[in-house]
Amino acid sequence: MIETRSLQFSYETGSVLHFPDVDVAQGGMVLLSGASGSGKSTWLALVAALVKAQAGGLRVAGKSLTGLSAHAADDWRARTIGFLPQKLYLSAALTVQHNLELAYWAAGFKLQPARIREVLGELGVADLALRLPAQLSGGQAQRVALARAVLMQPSVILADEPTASLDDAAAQDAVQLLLRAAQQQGATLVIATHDSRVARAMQNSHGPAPTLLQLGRTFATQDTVSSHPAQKVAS
Amino acid sequence: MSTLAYAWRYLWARPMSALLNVLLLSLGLGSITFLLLVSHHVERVFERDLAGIDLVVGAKGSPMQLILSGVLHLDVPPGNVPLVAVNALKKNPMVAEVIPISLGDNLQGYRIVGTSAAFLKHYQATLAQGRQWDAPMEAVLGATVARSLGLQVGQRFGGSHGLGAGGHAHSDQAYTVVGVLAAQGGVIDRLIITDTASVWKVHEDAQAVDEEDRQALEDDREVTMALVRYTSPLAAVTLPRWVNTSTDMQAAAPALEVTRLLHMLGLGTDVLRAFAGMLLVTAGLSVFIALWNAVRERRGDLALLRMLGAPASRISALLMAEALWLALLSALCGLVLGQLFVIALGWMLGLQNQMLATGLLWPPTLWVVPATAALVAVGAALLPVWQAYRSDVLQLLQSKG
Repeated sequence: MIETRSLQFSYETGSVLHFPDVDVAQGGMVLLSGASGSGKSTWLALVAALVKAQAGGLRVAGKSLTGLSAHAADDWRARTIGFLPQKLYLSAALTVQHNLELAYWAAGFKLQPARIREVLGELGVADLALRLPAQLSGGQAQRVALARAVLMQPSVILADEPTASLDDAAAQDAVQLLLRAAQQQGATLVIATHDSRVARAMQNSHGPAPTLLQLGRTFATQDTVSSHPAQKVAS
Repeated sequence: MSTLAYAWRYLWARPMSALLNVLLLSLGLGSITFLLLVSHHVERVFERDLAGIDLVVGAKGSPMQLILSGVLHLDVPPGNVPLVAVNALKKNPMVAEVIPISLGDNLQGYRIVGTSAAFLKHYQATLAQGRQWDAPMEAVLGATVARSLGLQVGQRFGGSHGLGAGGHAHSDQAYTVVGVLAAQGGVIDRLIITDTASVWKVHEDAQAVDEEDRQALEDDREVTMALVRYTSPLAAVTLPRWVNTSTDMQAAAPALEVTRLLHMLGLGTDVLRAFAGMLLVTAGLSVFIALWNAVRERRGDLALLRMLGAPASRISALLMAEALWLALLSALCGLVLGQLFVIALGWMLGLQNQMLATGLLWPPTLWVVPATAALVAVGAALLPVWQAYRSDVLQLLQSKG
């Protein structure tokens, strides 16, 4: 679950972002949208405990993130958050297998080769384990990056513009993979995007109705979203 | 994979940059290795070959030339001194031992040294084959001479005039090899040692036109120099001065001359050391630029690692491990390179029949090389590592890498 109350973040430049309150149940979905600079990445970073809010309350997967130490935040993030970035950041120097092993190294967890095989198998890329990222198609690379995101069986999956630069079919495929992976694991899924194809794909899915969270202006509320829209206020 | 294994992969993800850095660092470290090894070798040679010799007495001229020619056998001697003067020295109460040295001939560049049995005893030489000479025109070969010229006990050879190869041959006066010395790693390995009488005989036979002439030559016999051992350290104060002022000979103290020589060599090594330092600074800059660029290029990768739960310290350790890999590889290459330089030098000097320099040594001072490599690499990595440690993940997320 993700629960925010009067969440506020201040940039070093002095500008302050106020985020709308949100309540998303475990296993729910959030469609995070907004124009460039509206605070999508900041909201993701707050939920991932990468940065701290200056005011307000934030609970993710049952844990209050306010007052979490840097070390505790790293440990919590490794156990709780799966992340699918827009640019996939598969290390060119490492094979698919080693890229997934790198996630265990980063988290400081004991390597689970069986789990890697299982996830690659579920995403249909088991036979690519020994390939380098340069030898993968765009779709294959997307699946490998998703495999890395769900490897630790996170409670929350954050996807940042997962369909950017994908054609319609590949975008549909990417969203379906994300939804299926989240549903299989009972994870809360957050997709930050301004791609309308994602919203359509989510609404057409068989899962729970997504919470639409639009930042930067008045947003289309759904039953779980309330309170104020995010605003950028100069301090 | 471990941090070291990932660091290794990341390092070789940019092979040209990695190779260039290893090469630059290796050249600097190789130069330092070379200097350390040569210094070590020179000091070892001086310690070994000059041990137990308090004074060298010979013809007037340069005292260093006397030491270089009579003890290290690297230079030509300044001249000869009368045998009677050397014998008179033996009677001085401050003198415990006098070992005569007569130079003048060579065999294919290897010096034939006329001396007494005390010479072998002084150098603690042991025979690997045969026996010591007991008559003129019998010779004992140093290990290098025997190996290099392929001479064996029982074989005969004729010397050539002069101390370098190419002089006219004393073809009518042949030496017989009666013994071969065990290898010592010292100057004696490259000498042909015989009785002083052999050297006199060769030259007197060549020069005397009749018996009267021979008698005159015998009366005026000379030696090239004499190695002297004191009865007491106090002799160092008075004996050299007495020789220099009261005789027609010159006294040179090896300890003094070697100190002078090392000082002169030191000026040369300072230049080489400065050059090696420049190479290391260049290499350090190169490593810095490479790691700095690596951090810039991999900002997204590093941010992703933070998203996956890696603490900033683990990411810093990854970069530091890359620098340490560079240090390790460069130290190994530098050490091998330095040893090869020394082996090459030894080979070249060996060909010229001069001081030997052998590689594959590990004097304790050589630990400076890996320590320097680590210092340069870690020093060059500090700023990039700090940059990675302080990287703003949020900014990277916003910029989408």
